[in-house]
Amino acid sequence: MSQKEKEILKVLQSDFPIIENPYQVLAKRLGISPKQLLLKIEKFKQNKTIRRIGAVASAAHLGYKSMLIAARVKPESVEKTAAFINSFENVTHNYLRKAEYNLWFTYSAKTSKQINSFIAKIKKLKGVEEVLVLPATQTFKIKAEFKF
Amino acid sequence: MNKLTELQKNILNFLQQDIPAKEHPYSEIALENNVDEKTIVSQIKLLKNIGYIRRFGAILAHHKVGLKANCMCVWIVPENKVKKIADRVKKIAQISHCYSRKTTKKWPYNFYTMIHGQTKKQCFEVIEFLAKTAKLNDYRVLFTEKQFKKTSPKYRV
Repeated sequence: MSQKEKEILKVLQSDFPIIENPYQVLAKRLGISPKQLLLKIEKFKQNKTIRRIGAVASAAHLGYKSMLIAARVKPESVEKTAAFINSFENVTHNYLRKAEYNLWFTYSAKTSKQINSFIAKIKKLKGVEEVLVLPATQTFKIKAEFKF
Repeated sequence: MNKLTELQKNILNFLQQDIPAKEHPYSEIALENNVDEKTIVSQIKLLKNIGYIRRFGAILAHHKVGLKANCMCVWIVPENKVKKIADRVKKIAQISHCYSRKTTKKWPYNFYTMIHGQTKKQCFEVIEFLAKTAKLNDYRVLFTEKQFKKTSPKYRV
């Protein structure tokens, strides 16, 4: 990645102006044309460096609760279990980690009832030996901006 | 929570997707809602000011910008030290998320930190720094072995 590309990503991540024509203004700041900037953005989206451009909404303001769940899954069942978990739109993160609890995922919904019904489904899966439900008691930091 | 107008709801649903990469990204949503782009922009600013929008801009894939080592480090922190250590964590740039969580008999860790580095070594440096300065000995490091899913949550409004 060139220095210029890094600069573009940093600006798009951290200084995106809320105005009618954000790309014109950003392009001017970066010393390139709006067309060049939009082409770069297309490229970054294609190679998945930029996941998307938009807003991150506050779950709490919109009445959503998020739950971290960990499962101890037999190694041979991991792929299948992960695919089933991923099929839920409300699942936003799902990772394989090296620990006795090897699958870690988050589920967000408006009601505890929805969350509990999801957990019940996971518990019933073949190959899932144990499930930990780990609600947050306090949120100290959520910062999705990366220093690079 | 229920005080949002129809327009604000439509804007929030729209902005949780990928906005169009064109010079006037709000022209369509403005048209759909029979308002001008200026109104859309002022509503976005308002939604940000009142906290419905936490962040606005490009959402990057951290592994694509050189942060290839990502781990969750969980700690046992005595209740009376949690706040102090959380304040310390807030200042550490490599830690993106920090929560306290309920524990279980089998999983006694109550303090969670998500750490990102270019290498595993960088992650360990952050962990060792925190362990040393906060005098914490009980912790587990869980590196991401595979990312099955990572999407921005879409909260339907």
